[in-house]
Amino acid sequence: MTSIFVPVPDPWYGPPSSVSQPPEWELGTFVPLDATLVRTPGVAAVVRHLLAFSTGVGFTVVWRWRDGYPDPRWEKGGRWEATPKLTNLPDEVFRIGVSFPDGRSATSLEPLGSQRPNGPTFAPLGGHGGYGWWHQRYWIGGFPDNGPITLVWEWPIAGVSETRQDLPTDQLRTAAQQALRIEP
Amino acid sequence: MLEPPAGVEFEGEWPWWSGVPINEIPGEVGTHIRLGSAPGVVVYMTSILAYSTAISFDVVRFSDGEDAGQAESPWGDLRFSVTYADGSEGGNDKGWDEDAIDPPGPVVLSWQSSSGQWSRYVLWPLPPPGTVTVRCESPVMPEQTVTFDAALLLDAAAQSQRLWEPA
Repeated sequence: MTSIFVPVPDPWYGPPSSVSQPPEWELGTFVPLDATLVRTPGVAAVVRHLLAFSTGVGFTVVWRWRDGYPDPRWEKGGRWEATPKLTNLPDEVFRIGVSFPDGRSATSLEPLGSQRPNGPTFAPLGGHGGYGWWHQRYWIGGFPDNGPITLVWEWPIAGVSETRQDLPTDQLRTAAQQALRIEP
Repeated sequence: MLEPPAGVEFEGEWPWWSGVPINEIPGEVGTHIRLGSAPGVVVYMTSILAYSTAISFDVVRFSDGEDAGQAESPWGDLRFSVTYADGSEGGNDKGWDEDAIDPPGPVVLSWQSSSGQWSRYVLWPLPPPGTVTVRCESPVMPEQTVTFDAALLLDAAAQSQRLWEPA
């Protein structure tokens, strides 16, 4: 199976996708998900708060790691992601993205996230944490016309080869229609 | 001084009860709680995560923008308090002495905030079974009260997972 992570595409400098951000006036609808991305003796990462919005999906990756184990926030020289067409990703880099059934994909490796007009969008949102812990939010903009949204991740230094898990996309589509529209 | 629960690890030099365990994966609360509203403003408690010792959550404001650009947003004076079924009460406007005392009841500690749009909090300790009452007000929003069953938080806390022993 072809990797969605390499080569990293050229940065997109055009106008952003119409689904590049969660809708400003919505609170997403919760959809249960049991997804463990990483589990080693010293590192764990799980998905929490999977939320369906009218134009996409949000979720949080909850990280925990012990001293002496890989740090998911590793960067090489700061903004290593800015290197276009990187074909040999450092093993230390945790990468995550989405794949749609029609072959379109987007990953965390593009600067500022994938924002191409034909989508999907995959973008980091806010994050917070400290020593040994981090909570990182992500946004997936757009739904595939048919079939599942597949979450894909890889973290070689922690022994995690490319792994795929379908999100409960039918549930997300239904929940998206119930996303809470805020009207102050 | 209160000792931290056995087997639970906390970050840094702050009192342990002012943070969340860093050797646990939290359980999630799968709902948003509407705390209050006023013309042009709605306030929600969201992103609620539950640990074996505490709760973390965000308070998010949705505004029609009438107060945008004000040098001092009235939102910055949002006050809310939490009352547990045993009568104990705490709020984000009550200070605490990190050196001397343990808090007598629930403590609401602010972690972060951004431009008055959202604030992140820790609520300690977990509530006893029964009703949790949250009161919320600001200069632009009269006090409003919301109640919910503590089971909402306790059930999520029971889903938290201990990962490893403290270093």
